[in-house]
Formats: sequence, C-alpha cells, structure tokens
Amino acid sequence: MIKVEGITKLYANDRGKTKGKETKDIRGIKEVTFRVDEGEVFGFLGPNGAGKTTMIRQLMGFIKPDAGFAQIKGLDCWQNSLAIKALVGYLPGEMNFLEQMSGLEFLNLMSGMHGDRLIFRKRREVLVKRLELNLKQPIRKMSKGMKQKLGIIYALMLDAEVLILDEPTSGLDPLMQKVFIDLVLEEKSQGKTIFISSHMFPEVERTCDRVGIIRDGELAGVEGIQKLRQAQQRTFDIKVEDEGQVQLLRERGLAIVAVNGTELSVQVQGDLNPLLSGLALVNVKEFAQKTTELEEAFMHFYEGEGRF
Amino acid sequence: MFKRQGKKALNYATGLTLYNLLLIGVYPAISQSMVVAELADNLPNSVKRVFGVTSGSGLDCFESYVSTQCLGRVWILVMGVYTISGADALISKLVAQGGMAYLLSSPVGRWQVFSTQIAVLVSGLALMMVLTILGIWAETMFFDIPIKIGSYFRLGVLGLALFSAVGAYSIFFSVLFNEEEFTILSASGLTFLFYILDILVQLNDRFSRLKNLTIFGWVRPQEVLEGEVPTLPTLGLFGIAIIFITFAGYIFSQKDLHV
Repeated sequence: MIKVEGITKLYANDRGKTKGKETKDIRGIKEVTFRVDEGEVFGFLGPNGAGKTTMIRQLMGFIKPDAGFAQIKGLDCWQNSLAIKALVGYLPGEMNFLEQMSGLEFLNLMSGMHGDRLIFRKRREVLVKRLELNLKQPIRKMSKGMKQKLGIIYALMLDAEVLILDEPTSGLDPLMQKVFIDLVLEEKSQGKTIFISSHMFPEVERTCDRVGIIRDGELAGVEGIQKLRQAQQRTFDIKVEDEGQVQLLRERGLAIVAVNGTELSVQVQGDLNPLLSGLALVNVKEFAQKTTELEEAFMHFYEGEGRF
Repeated sequence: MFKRQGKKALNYATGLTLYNLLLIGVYPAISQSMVVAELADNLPNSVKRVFGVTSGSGLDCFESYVSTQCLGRVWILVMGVYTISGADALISKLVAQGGMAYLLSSPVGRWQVFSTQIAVLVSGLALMMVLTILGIWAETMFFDIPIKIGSYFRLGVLGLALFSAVGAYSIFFSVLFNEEEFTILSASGLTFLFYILDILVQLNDRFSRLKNLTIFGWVRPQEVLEGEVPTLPTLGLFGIAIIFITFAGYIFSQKDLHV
C-alpha cells in the first residue's frame, strides 16, 4: 500500500536554523526504503530530529524528494499528490490550526474540502463522543490535548483507506491515549493501512504490526513487533527475604546484574519462565519491572545480531 | 477565510471612514477661514507637495482637500499595512504556523488553495475601497458638499489596482520566504522605498524622471478627482499584480512546504 524506495531529502542550510520546529528536520533523510502492506499498522519510531516528520512530508507530497520515490497505492506522492490526499487521513505533528475558528467550523471547512460526504458527519459525531471534545470552543482557547483530539477527529472522520499519523498521542492524558489506541485498533480491524510516527513506546507497541526505526535520517531496520518483543530485554528489581535466597537464585543461572543485600536486579531476554520458576522457590518481598524503551530494545536487537 | 478577512477589512475601513468623517466635517469651516487659507498659501510648495497637493493652495477646492487629507499619506499607510499584513497572514503565517498543513492535506490542489487566498486578499482590498469611497460620499452628502461621484469611483478602481500590486508582490515574498519576518520586512521595505521615491519625485523636479519607477508615482488622487481618467496607470498596476501573482502561484505550487 505504501512503498518508499531509496528516498533522500537533505537540507542545504544544515544547522543554520535553531529555533522551533526547523531543528527537527535539519538533517533530512537518507536513502530510506520500506513498505507497508494493506491493512497493516506500521510504526515509524525514532528520537526527535531523526527525520520522522520529513518522511511524513514526503508521503503527503509537501516536499519533493532529492532522490528515490514514495508511493501510496501505486501513485507517486509528489507527482500525484492530489490523488494521494483523497486516500489519506492525515494528522500533522504540529497542532496549529486556523486559530480564529471553532472546532466545528474547522471540521466543517475540512469536510467541505474533502467533498463533504454524509459519512464524515456520522463518524465525527461518534469520535467527538468518544474523545469527549467540545467542538463549540474556539480553537485558540483549546489546550494542547484538546487540539490533539481535534486533529485526531479530523484524521479519522474521513474514513480514509490510509492513515498517516504524526505523533498522535502527544498531549493526550493516559485515559485518552487508551481511547486512541482502541480507535486505531478498530480502524485496523476494518482493514485500514496505518502509518504512525512516534518516539513513544506504548502507542507503537500496542498498535503496530511492524516497526521501522529511524536514526539520524537513516532507517536502521524494520522488524515485526512480535520478534522485537521477544528480543526485548527486561530488567526486574526483586527483593527477597535473606541472602541465602539470593544465592539460590544465582545458582539457577539467572542473569543477575546487581545485588545489594537482599535486593537484586535480574535481566531477562525473551522467555520469562526460568525467572518465575526460580522465584517460586524463594520468598519474594518486592517485585517490579523496569520498562525499557522500544528503541532501546531495537538497538539491543541489532547489536545482538552484529548489524551495527 | 473570507469571513475572517472580511471582519478585518471592515475594522480597517470603519477606522478610515471615521477619520475621514472628522476631516470632511471640518472642511466647511476650514475652507471659509481666511486665516487657514492664508496659512496654506504661505506654506512652501515643497511642504505642500510632500502632503500630496499637486495644484492650488490645497484648500480652495474640496477635491484637493480630500485627496491630501483623506486619500493622502495616512490612507496609503493604513492600506499598506492592511495589504502587507493580509498577504503575510494568508500564506507565510499559515505555512510557518502549520495551519497550511490541514488545507493541503485535502484533495484540493495548491493552485486552488493559492487562488482562494488571492481572492480573499483582493476582495478584502475591494471592500476597503468601496467602503472608503462610500464613506466619503456619505459624508459629503451629510455636510452638503457637491462631488463628482464618477471620479471617486475611478479613483477607487485605481486604488484597488495600486494595492493589488502591493498585495501581489507581498504575496510573492510570502511564498518565497519560509519565515514571516522576511516576508514582512521585504514587502514593507519595498513599499517604503516606493513611497520615499514618490515623495522625492514630488519634492523636487530633478527627480521627476523617477516618477515611473515608483508605483505610487502612478497614482495622483487629486488629478483623478479633478477629472483625469487614469486608464494607463490602472491597467499597468493590475498588470504588475497579475505578473507577481502568477509567479507567486507557480513558486507555491512547486516549492517544498515544511508544514
């Protein structure tokens, strides 16, 4: 559905601009190649400034590639940008609207520009209810989270075949993040193709089938989320009753990375069962999992395979 | 978009009309005052020229009064500010702030978005002109001052042409630069340059050759109000506007937009 082949866009005036969003895209992207199949949710993960927004601007036909091409449904994103936009629901990373309008006026304007179909209104009403947004409020009085909701409503109400979402949960509270994840999963179950850029682990982990990671403008690799999850290294902080039990756990061959009296940290890669069966033998006082970022997991994954 | 710009035009035009009301209101008193007439006669010619008086003392007929006071420097300044800020808000600001991303994420082409913005700008200017001329007309009716409305209408069209040209190069800068500051700076810088040149031309005959180099030199309100038909300047200014708008539209349809 989405095909990107050797796309390159470098900025001549490198490091010149330092303020605002320009710093984000300063280096551009180099020879990025990947594809997203129909009905797939693809996560595009990378730190700020890695080139995520630049990639999305390529897909939306806002900027012309220096080399390579991007296609959606076989149409070139720059040359056929009009046809592309009829297929795509887009959520920009920067939540700046036409400030003087109310949410409703904005959505009406955008509906009109997309050809005003009945389904837009139906979907809009459902989305407004689920995201709990007051559309009558002027946009300039909305908080960042409210603007984000408005953007999400716009992108999803169009019932587009392809969704391109740039950091969709930024500014949303945890409850709304969950609502958003549910919405994405529903869209996915309807066969939509979804491209999500993010620097946050949970939204990608819970929604995506495959993840591409971008660093300094280059695509480090693309992997299935299952494989990544397996490779993900988890660290557990455990407190046991006495030091004898620490010794007992050590004898079971667990990767204990730090011990402080009766407290220890254990690293587990993939299968959790060896740890659990070990813990069954001792008296556990405290048990906590340190979460690792997906990116970290990804790096670890590639280091393990010697590809970095 | 139309609604927003319309409100802004209405605000500007109301301000101008109130200002004109004040000026026209005092005209009967001034025109009959010997002291003021004497004062005006004694003013050096250069001073009068700077204020846009091209013939006579400036106070003996209403046309000369209205073109100096109502359609002189202040009017040009207000219209200039309106045009440049409008041109900036319609393209540069939307691109810089990211609002353009939404407009361009719809299956409406860049040319179409661009021409809508142009239509908003030009119709705003036309509204300003209509309101200014209507305001003057209503005020002269109120104070019982006879005018030839046809000349005022011609002046309105010429004014629209003038500020369409200003708007067109402002839009051109607006699509050329990604930063709003550059747009405002270059558009107002160029306008100011034209304006200074115009004053120089009027001040000193040595500079009269420069008259055609400044677009303000093409517009002489008093002469138009006194009956001259400004066909060539009007067409010329609209021509400049069309050229700049076409270039701007081409650039806008091709350039990388970091929205």
